[in-house]
Amino acid sequence: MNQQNARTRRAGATGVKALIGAAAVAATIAGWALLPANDPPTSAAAAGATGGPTELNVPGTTATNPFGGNSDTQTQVQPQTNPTQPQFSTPRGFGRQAQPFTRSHSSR
Amino acid sequence: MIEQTVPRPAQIQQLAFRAMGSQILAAIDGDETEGTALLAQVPAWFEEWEQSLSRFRDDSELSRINRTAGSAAPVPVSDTFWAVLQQALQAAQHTGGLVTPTVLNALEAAGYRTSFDTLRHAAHGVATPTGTGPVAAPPSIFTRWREIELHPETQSVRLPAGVRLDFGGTAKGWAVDEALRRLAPHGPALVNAGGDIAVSGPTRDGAGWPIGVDAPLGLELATDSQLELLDIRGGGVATSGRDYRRWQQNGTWQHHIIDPRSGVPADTDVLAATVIGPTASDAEIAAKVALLLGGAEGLRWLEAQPGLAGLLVLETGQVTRSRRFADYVWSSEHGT
Repeated sequence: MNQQNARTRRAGATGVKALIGAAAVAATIAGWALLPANDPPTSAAAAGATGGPTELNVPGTTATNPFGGNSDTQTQVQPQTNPTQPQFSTPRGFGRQAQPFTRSHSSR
Repeated sequence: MIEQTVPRPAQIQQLAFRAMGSQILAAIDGDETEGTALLAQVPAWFEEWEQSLSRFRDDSELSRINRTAGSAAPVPVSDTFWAVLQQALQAAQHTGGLVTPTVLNALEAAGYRTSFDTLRHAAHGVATPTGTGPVAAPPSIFTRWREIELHPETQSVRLPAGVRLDFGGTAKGWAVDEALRRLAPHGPALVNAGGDIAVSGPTRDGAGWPIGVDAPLGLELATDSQLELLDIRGGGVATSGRDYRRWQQNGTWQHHIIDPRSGVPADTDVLAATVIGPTASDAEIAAKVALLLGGAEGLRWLEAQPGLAGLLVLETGQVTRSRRFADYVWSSEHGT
């Protein structure tokens, strides 16, 4: 599968309010600019610690903003008898007939 | 490329539990003993963060800070609160105020006053809060985040009178990224908090993590509830939707995504927006922006962000995807 996503980085974050710490702003701006790499990233990149700002314009606003398994062997055991208690399980690797390891959906 | 060999099974430890009003999953592909011990710490991390950041706990740091709104002196805050507040204000800065932490009064006016877990009473999460009808929050919430004072020298905060904070999805995204940061040095890891997901990198076998994108609740599909299967090898995935955390108040449907421009739950044709971004926080914020902008403008906005890819589900059932989204779809010819 072609997973080579180009990363685009642009510098130039400006207009940060004085009330917001400059260092923290820089850290976040860096995170917003990095294309999520579907090639192996470093853990620092995964944590949004690299990259530069890109431009964001939200209509109707005044700011110009920087934005930058399932188991194939069926050995997974995930008891869910009490969802409030931590549950451990150890699934095997993903197979060619991949099912989702986990899911994204609206907050629930 | 067609896979030629069967991959070595990875030993992926995972832990599921409930926190922040959501189902949490943490997983690590590493040494079994170390992984299990490490994952056992994750619930305590979330408990500590929830105690600081939850608006539903009267004794949380957030509730305490909200009670100081209008006070003359800044109030010292914890490292966690400081980090999340800065992230929330940066989101407000970057989105021109579309994503802002100053929405608590508006949420409560719409009827969202207690934890959704305690409100829901039906299979589809329909809740019926008590209270009076919806009262529009002052539109000034769109801009009042600018009045919040941060004092780095004392790590303290002062809220202007009438401003109360709700970190909402920002806190969840931050928690996901922070948990991942702690797990990642010990092996490829994944954290999912209520649908907001971060991945540190491919598994030890070099495979991406297969992540499903669920259809919004109530959307009729021919086969199953999954819209897409993604191949995620790093970064974040998050969905913002008005399909689950919704309720009726005096006969009117409300939901939890406030549009700061109006001060009431967003009137948008987007039922749910899923975004892939550099981190869970980035994805969560961007998904909310796309939902608030609406289907057409939200898609145009996603296309203009080189660091993002997204999928929008409209209330008509139509599904639209940004061009870059295809880069993340799991392929049947996927080579591990």
